[in-house]
Amino acid sequence: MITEEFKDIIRACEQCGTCTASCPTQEASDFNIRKLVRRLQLELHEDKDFLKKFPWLCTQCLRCSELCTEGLEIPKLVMELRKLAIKNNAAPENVSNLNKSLKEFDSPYQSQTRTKETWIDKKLNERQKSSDADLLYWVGCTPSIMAPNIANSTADVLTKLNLDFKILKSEPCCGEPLISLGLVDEAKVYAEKVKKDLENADIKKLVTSCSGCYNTFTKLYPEILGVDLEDIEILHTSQVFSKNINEEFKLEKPIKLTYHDPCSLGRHSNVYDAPRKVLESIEGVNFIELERSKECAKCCGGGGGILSLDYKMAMEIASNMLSNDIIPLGVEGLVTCCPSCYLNFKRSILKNKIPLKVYDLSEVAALCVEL
Amino acid sequence: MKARVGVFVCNCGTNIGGVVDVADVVKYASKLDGVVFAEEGKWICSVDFLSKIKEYIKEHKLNRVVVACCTPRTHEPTFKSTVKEAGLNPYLLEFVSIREQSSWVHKNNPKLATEKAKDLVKMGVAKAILLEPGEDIRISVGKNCLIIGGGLAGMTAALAVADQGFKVDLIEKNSKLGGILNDLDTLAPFDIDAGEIVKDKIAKITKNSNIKVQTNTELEEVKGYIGNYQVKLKNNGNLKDIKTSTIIAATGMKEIEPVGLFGYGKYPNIFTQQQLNQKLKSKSLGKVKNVAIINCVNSRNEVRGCCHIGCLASIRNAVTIKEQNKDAKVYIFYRDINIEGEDVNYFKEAVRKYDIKLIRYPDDGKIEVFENKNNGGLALKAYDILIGDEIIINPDLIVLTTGFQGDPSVEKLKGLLKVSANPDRFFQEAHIKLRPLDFANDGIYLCGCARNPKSIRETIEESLGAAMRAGIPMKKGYVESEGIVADVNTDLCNSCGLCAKTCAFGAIEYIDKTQPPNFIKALCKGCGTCAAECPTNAINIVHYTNEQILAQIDVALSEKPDEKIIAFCCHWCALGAVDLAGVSRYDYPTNIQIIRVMCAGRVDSKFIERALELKAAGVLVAGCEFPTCHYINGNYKCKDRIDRLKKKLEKKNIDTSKIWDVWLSAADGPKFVSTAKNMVKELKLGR
Repeated sequence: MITEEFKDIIRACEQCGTCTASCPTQEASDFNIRKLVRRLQLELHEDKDFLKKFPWLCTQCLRCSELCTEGLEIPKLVMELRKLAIKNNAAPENVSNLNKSLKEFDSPYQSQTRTKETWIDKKLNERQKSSDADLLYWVGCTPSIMAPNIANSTADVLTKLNLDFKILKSEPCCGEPLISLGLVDEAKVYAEKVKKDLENADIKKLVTSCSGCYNTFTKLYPEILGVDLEDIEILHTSQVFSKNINEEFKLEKPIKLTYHDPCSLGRHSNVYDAPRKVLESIEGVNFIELERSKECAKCCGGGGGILSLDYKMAMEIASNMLSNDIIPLGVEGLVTCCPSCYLNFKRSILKNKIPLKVYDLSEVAALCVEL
Repeated sequence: MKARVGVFVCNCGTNIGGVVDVADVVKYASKLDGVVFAEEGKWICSVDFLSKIKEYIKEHKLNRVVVACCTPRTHEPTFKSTVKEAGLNPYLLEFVSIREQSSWVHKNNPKLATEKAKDLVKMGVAKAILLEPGEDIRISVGKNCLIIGGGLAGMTAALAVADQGFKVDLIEKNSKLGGILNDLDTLAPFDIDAGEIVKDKIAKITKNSNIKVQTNTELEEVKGYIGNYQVKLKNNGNLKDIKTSTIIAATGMKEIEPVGLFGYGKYPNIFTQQQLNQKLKSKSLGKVKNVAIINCVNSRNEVRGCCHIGCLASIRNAVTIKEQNKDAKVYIFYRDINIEGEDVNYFKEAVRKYDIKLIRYPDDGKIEVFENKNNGGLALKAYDILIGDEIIINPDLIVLTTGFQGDPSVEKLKGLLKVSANPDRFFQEAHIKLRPLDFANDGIYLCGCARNPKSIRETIEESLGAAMRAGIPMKKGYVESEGIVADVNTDLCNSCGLCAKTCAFGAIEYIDKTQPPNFIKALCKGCGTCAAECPTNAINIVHYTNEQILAQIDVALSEKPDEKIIAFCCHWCALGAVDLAGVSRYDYPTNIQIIRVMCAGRVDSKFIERALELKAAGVLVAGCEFPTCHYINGNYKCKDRIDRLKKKLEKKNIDTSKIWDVWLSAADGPKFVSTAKNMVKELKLGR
């Protein structure tokens, strides 16, 4: 029972409301995380109408637990309620749609299982054909299907840094969407498959440009699914770039940029400095820090499965952030290193015609590169 | 015998001498009727000058002494004992304040300050001539104490009094000792067993030969006063007389039955905390699954405030219920959680360990208890502020944490002891901060829940305190009071009994219509309220007789009355404020001329009328701020009297705008000054 298993969280909550104040979703819906915990306190959480709607509005950004006065891990409660909702047949339709998508198409985007041929630049493809490197570049679903420019830029930069790497011909989804939506058993099956694929790839290191995949491999696999990718060192592109970047990286034109900490890289994985080091090492980058950054950075709204459940709400959260926090900085561009954030911001900017460019970290580095 | 008055005027260094022309005042004094000797001194309170005073008294055969110096609140005892050493009765000394009342507050007007000093000395001499010798009063006090109530407070006090070596009569109206503790089990927060406490106390009491316990015994009659109470006890219909020196009231409290609230009395399985205690102790509660505890019943309303112990009691019982019913859901509906200090940890840990659900209900919030139509059980509906919605639960037990009142026996007891209790039957102490365990009547004390609801720890603290208070006069063997006491002229008294009703100290015993009341000088505090209330002016107060005060008024207004405001100031708060204004060197107009009384209650209507007849510019009465009169009710009586006088004068078309009153604390120097200034301004006196 949730109220027994998580009594340390539920009973310790003093209902101060700091969590709700820190939550990105409460600006764009009637979601109230404090009230959700209160329902658990009063054991009124099994109501079907409640289970069908509210647990699915959380972006899993962890901002509430970061700022909680008691340090309570509130998002865990949300996950448990999602699992309960699924068990009680009270989950929204999109949940089973996503499950089907992953089963059939190996990605949350209901498109054909993609191979590297679907996204990779021709010139790059030639160079990759005969690679037997022990470093694998893990692309991720979103870059390969929705934002191939991120994948290509990353490959460019890795090449410029003289890092030999290989790419899986047929890369599966890491399974994170299943975990986000509480389909833990299905996620476990997935993870075992991924582990096999990686073992067969015969690699020592893995670098990914997706913060979500990075967090999934390093934290969610061992902690939630009990799957251990032993012998493979998992790295994020920001870490690899920051370690290897050199003075050759300079921009043609100076540009004023700010950086958005993705929740999966930041609060979930504690990687704050590597991306900043990369930006500061590139000559021509005029870097302005957001007022709320690092541990208390705001969430763009694109996490926790929200992009699959209600992408419009995610866009609203992102546009609030753009107008309230980012535009006032007077920057020309916003940098992030999470494909979900990238996608969400891009959609928001297009819809609201906001004069701002969005870059993945690799794209900024790639601008310095001439192949 | 003709009065031979000696006047001693102090310079107080330059404090007085720097503003007032002291030599001039001495010269003026020496020419007054009745004055045979006048002298000035640098500091007349100094050892040399005090011995000079003694010599002067002998040399000039002085039989009255007036000192004109600082404030009586500092050196009056000094001069009184000096005068006594010179062989003169100390009640023949009059103290005039020309520092706080003149030189310090009229610095910018040395001429007028000197005039005022002369006036004040003249008033002092006029009073001194009329002074009579007086005597300190001593009553002997024995070593017996009667304690009413055999609960925790009574038992604790009994042991503490007996341990001091005194004898104790402990009476309890029920058949056994223990009081509320007999209904309790383990006590929060330390899990001590209530029964063990009772057993321990009873064992100690039994072993103590100084304590005599009488159960099934109540108080029937009380006569007398401290050191000399004659008490009748009733035991199973038999009367018994005992004598005692002091009395401690420890009669405890009782839950207010919440009849008609939250379904109490209408549906089954709804109990008060004490009823629940009895069931828990006798293990007769039975299994429960859903328990609702509603706090603050009958409390925090227009009638009474927080019950002080409900929160701790409710959590204690919630824990016991959960320990006996591990799967039960327990809800506590509360207004605030009023728990102090480290008990908060007990509370928090209990809530977390037993998953007790706390639901706050607002001051105007309704909790509805009704019948659950589906199964005939109970349903409870409340609004949870945090979830922003109504919740409904189905309790199989509802516990109401209700407020308290004093024991029903207090209705009779307060009359027997002549003490006061509030509408909730809780006894009222003499002063909430300064004398919390005393009654206004000497020799009677109170402790425990008889005073207000409190925890076991607090009860023990107070009982030890009350035992100490009762021990003081018993150890000394006597109580002594100043001889400023009331006396009645039996020729004038018509036995109306108004004085006995007025006296807050029980010092006047009304007997019947055929004889004057009995004035117990030992209990009289000298406030003079009885004298001012007496319709036939039959009562006078030593050192503040009607004649003396009227003489001061007459003399003060003999010259330039239209420039003078007569200010009657009580010794405690008003004079305190006046002195503070002096120390702070506030400047105010010289029109104010102060006549000291012990209490504003002394100010008779005819004093005010006399001042107006003599064409005073104004009359000010200054006393202690409400509700804390030094003599309990003097200020109230005085205020009512002034209002009645004004109505009477207005009917005769006499202008009452000259009559002012102000009620302040001894710290209110600024308030006295601003009142004085306002009065002078409004009455257009401008000095």
